[in-house]
Amino acid sequence: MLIPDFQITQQDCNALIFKDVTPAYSPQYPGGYGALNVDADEIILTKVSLDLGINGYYSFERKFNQTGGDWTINAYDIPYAPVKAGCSDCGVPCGCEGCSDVEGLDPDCGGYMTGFPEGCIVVKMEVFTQGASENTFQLQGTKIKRIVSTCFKDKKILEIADKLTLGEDCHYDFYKTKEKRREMMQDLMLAWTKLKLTENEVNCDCECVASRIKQIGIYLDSIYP
Amino acid sequence: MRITSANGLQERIIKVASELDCENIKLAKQGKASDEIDNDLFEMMFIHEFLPYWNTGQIRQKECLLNDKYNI
Repeated sequence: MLIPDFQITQQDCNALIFKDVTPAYSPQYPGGYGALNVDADEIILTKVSLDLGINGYYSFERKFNQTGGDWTINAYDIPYAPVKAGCSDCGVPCGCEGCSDVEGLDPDCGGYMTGFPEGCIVVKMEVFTQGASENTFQLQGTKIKRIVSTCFKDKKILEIADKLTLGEDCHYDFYKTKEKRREMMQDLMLAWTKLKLTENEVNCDCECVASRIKQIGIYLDSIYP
Repeated sequence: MRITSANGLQERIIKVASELDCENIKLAKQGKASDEIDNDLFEMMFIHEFLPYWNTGQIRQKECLLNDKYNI
């Protein structure tokens, strides 16, 4: 049975780069392409679904296989459809009522995402071969992974870190003394480390991820110049 | 996050920081460890951590700062 695998990385907060990295069949990876399973070039359709929790569930299909390079999923192309926001059933392209506090969204929403909201993103990959008739497809394998998006907080931390390490003549006035600056650098380093750990910590579920990102956000807002 | 090449700057920071650290350990053995050196080391490691995530303009700026302050 085919067990596909993929990598997904976030770029500039508003794009996800998807790559099929399923290895070739081997005794070490019996779920790979070829041999007893279908070949990579037999995959004629790939479906990628993104579960963003309350920020919606989105599904994309493409004639895509391993030989097709990377697949970029742009937030700008995704109509925003939150699950619980007040505007979800207003019958018009989702405006901003109830969505305006979601970081990464345009203040007037415009109906489309401007970035992937922070927190858990559960990604499902499904690969299909040609079905028995022309417009049917045969599911060959599924893979689900969770990634954690912290891009907007990362950017904010990097911006503050930059300002804390400007040259002597450009001292930013959000620290007044050497001690205060050192203290802020230590706290910022801690926040950064915590964020990086949260991205990879399997024991921290999506609620835990959201709570940590929120805590770090509160801290960053308190020191953000 | 996108990673930027820092053109060996990280390695140079580590080299100078290690020398400075050794110096401070020697001073500590004589009961003369310096908070100033600790602060300098921390600043170097702070920059080292974030360097790959900054853009090339920011990296150049940090390179000048490290050169002026620590001769890196």
